[in-house]
Amino acid sequence: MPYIPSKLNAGKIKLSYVALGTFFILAVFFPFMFLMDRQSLPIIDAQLGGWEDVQSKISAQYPNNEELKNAALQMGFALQRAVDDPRSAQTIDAELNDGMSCVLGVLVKQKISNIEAAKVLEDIRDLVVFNSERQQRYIRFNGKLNGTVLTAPNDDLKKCKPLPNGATE
Amino acid sequence: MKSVVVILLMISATFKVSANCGEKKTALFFANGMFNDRVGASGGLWALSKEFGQKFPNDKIDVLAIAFNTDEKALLQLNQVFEQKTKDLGVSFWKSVTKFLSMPDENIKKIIQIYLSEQKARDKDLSIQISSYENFLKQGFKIITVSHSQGNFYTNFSFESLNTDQTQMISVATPASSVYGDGPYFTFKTDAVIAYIPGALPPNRTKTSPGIADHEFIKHYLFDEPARNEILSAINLAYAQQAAEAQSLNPKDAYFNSDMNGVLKWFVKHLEKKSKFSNSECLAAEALFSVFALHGRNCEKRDFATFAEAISDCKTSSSEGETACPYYRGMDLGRPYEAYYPSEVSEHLSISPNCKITTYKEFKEQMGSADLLASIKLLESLKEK
Repeated sequence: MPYIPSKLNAGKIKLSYVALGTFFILAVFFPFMFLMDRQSLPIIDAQLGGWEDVQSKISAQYPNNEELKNAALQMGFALQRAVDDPRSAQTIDAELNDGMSCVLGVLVKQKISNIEAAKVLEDIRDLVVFNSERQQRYIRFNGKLNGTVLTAPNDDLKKCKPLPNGATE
Repeated sequence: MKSVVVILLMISATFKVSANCGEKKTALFFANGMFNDRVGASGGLWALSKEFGQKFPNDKIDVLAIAFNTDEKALLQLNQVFEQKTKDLGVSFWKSVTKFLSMPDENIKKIIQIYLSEQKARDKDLSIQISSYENFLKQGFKIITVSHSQGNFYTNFSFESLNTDQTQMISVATPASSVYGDGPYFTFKTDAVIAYIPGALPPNRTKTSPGIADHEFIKHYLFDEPARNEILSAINLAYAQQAAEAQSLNPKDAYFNSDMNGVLKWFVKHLEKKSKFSNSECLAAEALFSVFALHGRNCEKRDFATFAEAISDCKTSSSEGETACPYYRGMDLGRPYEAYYPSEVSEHLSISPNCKITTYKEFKEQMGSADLLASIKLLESLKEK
C-alpha cells in the first residue's frame, strides 16, 4: 500500500486521477490520433477544384456524340463532387448512380454491347480520377461507402439531367 | 408406387392454385472485392444482369444491389506503391491495378496476402450488409449473390450468419477456401491475384485468351465468353434451385392447373406400367417437367397452354442456343435432371433411358421433325376436355 498523507482523502485522489486522465485524452491522445489519421489517409480539408479540366477531357473524349458527352459530363460532375468532398459520399453516391444510369441509358439506346458499356463507365471514371491526389480522394470516397448496400444503376434515360448552373462550359 | 400417390395428390391439389398464390421475388447482389471501385462494381453488376436477362428472359430479377466492400487503408498503401512504380506511365490505377499486382514483387505479394486474407476479412463490420440481407428476406425475397475476389469472404460470413436456405452464392475469383452452401466457383488458372493466396480454392477454369493478371470481373471474367456463360448459367441454376424449393410435391404447394390433369394421368400411367417412351413421348415428358419447374414464382401459369407452348417452341427453334425449347434449355445449362425435378423424373428416366438427352448433338441426331409433330398430336389427345 502506498503512503497516503492523512490530509488527502480518497475523494480528492480520485478527482485528481480523473483530471489527469482528462488532460491526457484532450492534450495527447486526440491530437495523436488526429495526426495518425492525417498521416495514413489523404488530407481532404479543402475542395480540390479542376472541374474545367475534367470537363474539357470528357468533351474531347466524345466530340461526335453529343448525347453520350452530356451523359458523361453528368456522371463526371458527380465524380468530381466525390473527389471534391469524399466525406459526403452517401449524398453524392445517389447523384453518381443517376449519372451512371444516364450513361448506360444512352449506350443501350446506341446499341453498345453490355460489356463495352460497362467499360465506358470506367473510362469516364478515369477521365475524372486522373492523378494521385484525385485517386486518394476517390479511394476515400469509396471507403466512406464501405460495408453498405448500394443501389445498382439501371439504363435509364429519365435519370439524365442538365448540369447545375455554374458547372457548364 | 409412392411416386404415383404423390402425383395423384398433386393432381388433387391442382385446384388450390389461388390459395397458395403469393409473389416470390429474387434479388441479385454483387459483392465486390477491394480492387473494384463503386463504378467498376456497378458496371459489373449491370452488365451481368443485362446478359442474364438476354440469355434467360423468363428468369425475372426483381432487385439489383451491391454489397459494397473496400479497404481504404490497403488501397492507399497500394496506390502509393503503384504511383512509385508507374510514375511516368500515366496509367489508371483501377484499370491497371490487377496487372500491377501480378508483378513479381515481394512487397506487393505481402500487401495482397495481408489484405486478402480471411483473418483480415473477419475483422470487418458486416452488420449493415447483414441487416440489409435480412430486410430482403423478410420481404419474401430469395437472394442470389455473385461474389468477386474479397467479396467472397464477406458473402461467406454474411450468409453463415443469416443461416437460411433462401440465399445462394456464386463465387468468382475467390480467395476463400469454401463457397457458402457449396455453391459453384470460377477461378482462372491465370488469375495472378488468387495465385498469391494460400488456402484459396484451386483455380478451375482456363481463360480462352490467357493474359498476365486475369482477375478483374468485367475485363477478364465477363469478357471471356465461356466464363461469362458459366456464371450466367450458375445464376440460372441458383434461380431454378430456388424454384425447386418453392415447388415441393406437397399437395399444399403444388399448383398445376386442372387442364393439366390429362397429362399428369398419362405420365402416372407410364410410371405404373413401366412402359418405355417413344421419342415423341420423351418430348412431351420433358415439356411436362419444364412446366413443373418453371421459375419458382407462385402464380406462374402451370397450365396446358404453357405445356403446349414448350413443345411448339422445339418445333420453331432452329439454332443452337435458343432457350425456348425445354430440351435446348436443359442442354444449354448442362444441368442434371436430378437437380431440378422430383424423384419421379429419375424413375421415368430409368424406364426410358432414351429420353435422357444431354447434348445438343444428341438431340439433333435423335429427334426429327416427325417426332415433334407426333408429340404435338399426342399433346392434343392429352388435353383434358
